[in-house]
Amino acid sequence: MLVRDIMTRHPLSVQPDTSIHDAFLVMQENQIRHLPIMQDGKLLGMVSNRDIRWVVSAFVTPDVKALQEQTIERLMVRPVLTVDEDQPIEEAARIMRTHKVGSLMVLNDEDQVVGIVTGIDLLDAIINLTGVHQPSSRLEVELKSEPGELARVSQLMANLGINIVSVLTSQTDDQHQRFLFRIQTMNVRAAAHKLREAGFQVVYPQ
Amino acid sequence: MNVLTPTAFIYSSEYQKYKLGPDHPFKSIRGELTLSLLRELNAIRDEDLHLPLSITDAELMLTHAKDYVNMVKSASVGEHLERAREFGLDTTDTPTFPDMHEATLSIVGGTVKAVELVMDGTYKRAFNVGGGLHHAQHRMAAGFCVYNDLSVAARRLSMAGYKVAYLDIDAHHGDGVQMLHYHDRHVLTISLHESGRYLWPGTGSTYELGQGDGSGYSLNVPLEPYTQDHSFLEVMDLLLPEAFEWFQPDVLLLQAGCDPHQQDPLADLCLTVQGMSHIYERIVRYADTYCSGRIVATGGGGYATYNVAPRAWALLYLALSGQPVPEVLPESWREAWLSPNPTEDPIPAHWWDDAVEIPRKQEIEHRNRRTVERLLRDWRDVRK
Ligand SMILES: [Zn+2]
Repeated sequence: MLVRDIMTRHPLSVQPDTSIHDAFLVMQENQIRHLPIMQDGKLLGMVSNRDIRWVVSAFVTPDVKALQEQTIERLMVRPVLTVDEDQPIEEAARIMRTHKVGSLMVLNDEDQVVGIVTGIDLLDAIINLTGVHQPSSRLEVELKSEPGELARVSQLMANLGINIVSVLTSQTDDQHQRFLFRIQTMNVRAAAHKLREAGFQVVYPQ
Repeated sequence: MNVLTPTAFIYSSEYQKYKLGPDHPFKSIRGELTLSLLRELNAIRDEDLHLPLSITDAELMLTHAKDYVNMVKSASVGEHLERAREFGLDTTDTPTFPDMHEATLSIVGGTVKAVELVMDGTYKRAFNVGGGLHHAQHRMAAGFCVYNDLSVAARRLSMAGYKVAYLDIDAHHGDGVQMLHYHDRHVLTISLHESGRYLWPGTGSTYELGQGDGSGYSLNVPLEPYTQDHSFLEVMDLLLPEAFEWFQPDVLLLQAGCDPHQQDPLADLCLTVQGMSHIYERIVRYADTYCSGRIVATGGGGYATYNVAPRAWALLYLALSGQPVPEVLPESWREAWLSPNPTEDPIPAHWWDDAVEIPRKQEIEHRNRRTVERLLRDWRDVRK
């Protein structure tokens, strides 16, 4: 899955001379938390819902209050963190986590802004990767970290005519990996039974 | 025979054509076994037996997409279909089989017949033993289910102006019915099922409360694996009175899958047959209090074909019709049948089961209680 598959295309943006108040309304009305500031197709900066809320909040001090009359240019954060549209989503997740930001602007080959990707988009992607959005049962198998183990499991599923909706994996120790399958059958026990017969260690169902 | 409430039993030998294959866990013989047990008990009158109605394509297509229905029709006559899998057909769970369309349509017609008998006042209660195909979706077969008889029936009721409370006590989440009525305020769907953390289909969390017009009209209680009789009843008592009091249903549509039983090979709930009998009686009582006693019931899941399904569904019929349960399981019935798999799925020797010991019993009960309390809290917020 690449950033381009999960990003929001044509994100809303404002000009640098927009008042902070108007920018705030744009975010409120469209229920967005990240607003890029663009001019003539060029990305200048970014404000988040948190930056802007502070300025318009009832708790502001007089010097911050003065900002309300200003344009969004005074408030925006730069440089803006970006990611390329053909990067894998895990790369986007890593950049966001490292820099503690909730969104990245997405660029194409010509460095033009083509979209925005947020933490919510990444969560949706994770849900999609786990397969829970499709009717399926959960099957957990511990496999030796050796070539061909996963292939044997999927061959067995194929022989049973069972479609695998998703596979997630994590390392349990040096020699083993835990595989979490979501498989398209209501009769998951029958599949588990076949795997056990073939010598695999099925963790769930018992 | 001491029938308090005459209850229709819908059955047709057509149901036997719903054949998913010799190794498939879904066995249509369950209906036959149930009827024969009721007969041996002398608990059913011939005049209460009814055949399914025939259903038009137009009515079926209020629930299902046209291209999907056409696909099922083609599969019925043995055509090879390139795109079958796109529609959930030709899979291990829902393979195609000869006369698939007609067989499923007869099941749909059975539940609709049950609805008709209740709507025209002939009966207060009706039971279609073959029905309950709650996983079927708008444009997809799923989880052994081809057409969604429950949704077709709910639609016929709501189009006639009835408010329908749909209650699903199958071990699996009633995802098809919920989805088909997720935006619908005329059908309140309530499902009590084993949590979808592991079990098919994975949905049915407390936060699925309906959407748009239907916001507040879907309720789900995901139960802990190994939930037993007492906890199941307690959860029902915490939820149903409040739900029915608020919704004011005209009729209760009950999907009574019997796979929550401790012996069922496909799920992990731990009910006994006597517990299920209590559950049926309790549901009948709620229907009496909140919707003039009107119940349209169907079967559903149940994969201990010989051991559990006939006992459970005979008990359901006895509860619906207000008949006492005879002390002994008739020997004549036991002798009439032979289970093909006597170790895994024997003909039962007695009515009642021995409950199994669950070490985490208290923790499970506590968790289920918390789940309903959380559900009620969220729901009260949403339904305002
Ligand atoms: Zn079920």
